[in-house]
Amino acid sequence: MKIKNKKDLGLGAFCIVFAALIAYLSMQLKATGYEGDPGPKMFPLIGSVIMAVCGIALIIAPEKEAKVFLTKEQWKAAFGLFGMYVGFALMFWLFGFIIAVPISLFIITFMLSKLSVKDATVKHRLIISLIYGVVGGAVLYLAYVVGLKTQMPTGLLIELLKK
Amino acid sequence: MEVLNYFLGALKELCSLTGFIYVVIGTLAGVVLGAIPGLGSSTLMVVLLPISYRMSPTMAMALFISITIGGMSGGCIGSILLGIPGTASSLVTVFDGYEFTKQGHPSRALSNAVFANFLGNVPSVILAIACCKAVATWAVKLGPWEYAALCFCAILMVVGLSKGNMVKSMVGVGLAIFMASIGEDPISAKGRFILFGRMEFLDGLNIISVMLGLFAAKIILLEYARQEKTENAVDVKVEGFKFPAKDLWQNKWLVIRSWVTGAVIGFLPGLGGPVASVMSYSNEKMISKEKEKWGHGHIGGVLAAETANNAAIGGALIPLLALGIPGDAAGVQFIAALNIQGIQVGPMFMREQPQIVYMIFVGALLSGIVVLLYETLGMKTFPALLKIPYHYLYSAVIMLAFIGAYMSTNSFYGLIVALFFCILGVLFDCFGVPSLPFLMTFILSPMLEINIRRGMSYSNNGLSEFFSFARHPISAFFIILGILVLVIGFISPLFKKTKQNKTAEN
Repeated sequence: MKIKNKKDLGLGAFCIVFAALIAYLSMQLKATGYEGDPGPKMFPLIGSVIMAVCGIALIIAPEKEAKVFLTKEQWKAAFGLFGMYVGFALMFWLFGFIIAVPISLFIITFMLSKLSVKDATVKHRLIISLIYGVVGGAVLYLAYVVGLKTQMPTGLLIELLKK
Repeated sequence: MEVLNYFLGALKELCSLTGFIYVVIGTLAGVVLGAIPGLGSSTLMVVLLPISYRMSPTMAMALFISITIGGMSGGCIGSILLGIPGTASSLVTVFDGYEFTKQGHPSRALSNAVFANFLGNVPSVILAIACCKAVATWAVKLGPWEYAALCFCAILMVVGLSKGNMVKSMVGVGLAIFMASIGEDPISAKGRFILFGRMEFLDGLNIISVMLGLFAAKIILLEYARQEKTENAVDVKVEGFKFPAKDLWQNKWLVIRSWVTGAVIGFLPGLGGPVASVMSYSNEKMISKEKEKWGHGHIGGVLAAETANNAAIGGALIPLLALGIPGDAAGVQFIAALNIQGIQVGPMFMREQPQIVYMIFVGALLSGIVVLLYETLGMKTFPALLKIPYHYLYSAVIMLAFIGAYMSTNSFYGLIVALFFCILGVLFDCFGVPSLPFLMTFILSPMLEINIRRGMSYSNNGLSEFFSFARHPISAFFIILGILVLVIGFISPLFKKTKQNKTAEN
């Protein structure tokens, strides 16, 4: 007997729970009072019914085989880069555009260069990434702040230090 | 006469220095991004969305259509020279195109592909110009019932016709309906699902941040995780373009049939270039007298795939511009770009914004010519396009994506939404939930909801009014069509399975 696809079972269970949550939240919404208008709850309720039906279908008839999506090592790498995404967001918030962009550009370029310049030494990759981070950061600053005159964050910590 | 005026107006604007630069740069950037396997021109469009509000709406549309045309054309370069498709639309070009490279004749395959791109794309845009006006004139007469039915039908067609597990596609639809409901209620303007009491949610989930997370950030994250981007050995020497007169003449009917297939499939929501090329390739192979040569370097394989995927562009423009219904991810991006400019796409779009519509048409035609000129004159540079170091390109794309997400709301809210949708995109891929039905539903939901509610308010019959053949035959037709496509899409794999089991038993 084949083992049921755990992924589909999990997705099915999630769909049912999430559908129940949406339905509960939707029922809290008040009607508009306009004649004939079903109110703001109708549309999300349709979404919850679709999700609940799909959830039940996935539990009853999951796909037989679950393909390996990412290996353990690949998940680690994915978390690593996602950590950098979050790191950028935090740096952007705390230190602002001028500091966050070149530093993040440097780190991400260095991480990705592992794939495209395999033969290069770590030192070589570091130097190239550093130059790219600084030059790229300056170009982005010129493009967004000077050229497009966009208001970019100056950084919460930098603002506090200035005060 | 009016049409000619708009046409000439758009042409004049595009022939200015700024317009010309937009078209040329957009097209070339599209070719480069389309050629590089994995990234695709749609990523570039998503990244440019937040900046597009600084442009005039007409110029923004000229840029986006140029990127689309360039990207679709560039896809064949990776397929033919590397054996790795640059875009999903050029997947089947690999089968025969790469064989030519292995046999030492990449220029023949590239020359045919380049010309097939032009033959597919330009006439399909002319078809769109011819059809859009008629469809839009008809669409103006539609009421909320018909318009809701059209949106409903488009969503179900995406689910029913696109590949993948239909139940999982519907999970995406359900989730998108909920996520699109976050924010102000379209009728009463009261807050709905204002998560954590944060007022930022009143504006809903920003489509730009959603797409930046779901496309750019997720794609690069998974490519990095899978370590797929290694240095591709492109040691192929490509000679210059040679006009493939003999190949084209011998395959003239194949090209015409592929063009028709592409244009029709492009018109249907959710299919687009990838399905057009696969379907055209399979049909032509099936009716070919030299079936055994297909897959081993038959020029018909290259011509069929590349004509069909480019013809799908014009086909997809018809529902997008005349009805406001996107056919594929690129269409969703067009709508998002117009929304940024404060322009709502719908049945009145062609009447209210003809200058934008004709700019898209003229931009597409000019871009088709620019692509042809670049790809014929610069064919020798194709191998160099595939040697662009990924680490520079990808890190820049990530930065542009996150800065764009911040710009889209002018707050960290946009950035957080993009990060959330990056995770959601990875989870979608992990659980096999296709992104396109989610995205299509997310963009069509506001229109669908407001029209359902208006339709119900205008009559006393509730939802049954939408099914009334007597009062709203068009609405009833589209609802039944949508349900039919969904049911067929659900049943046909079961029939195939039974047939396969019977064959295996025999």
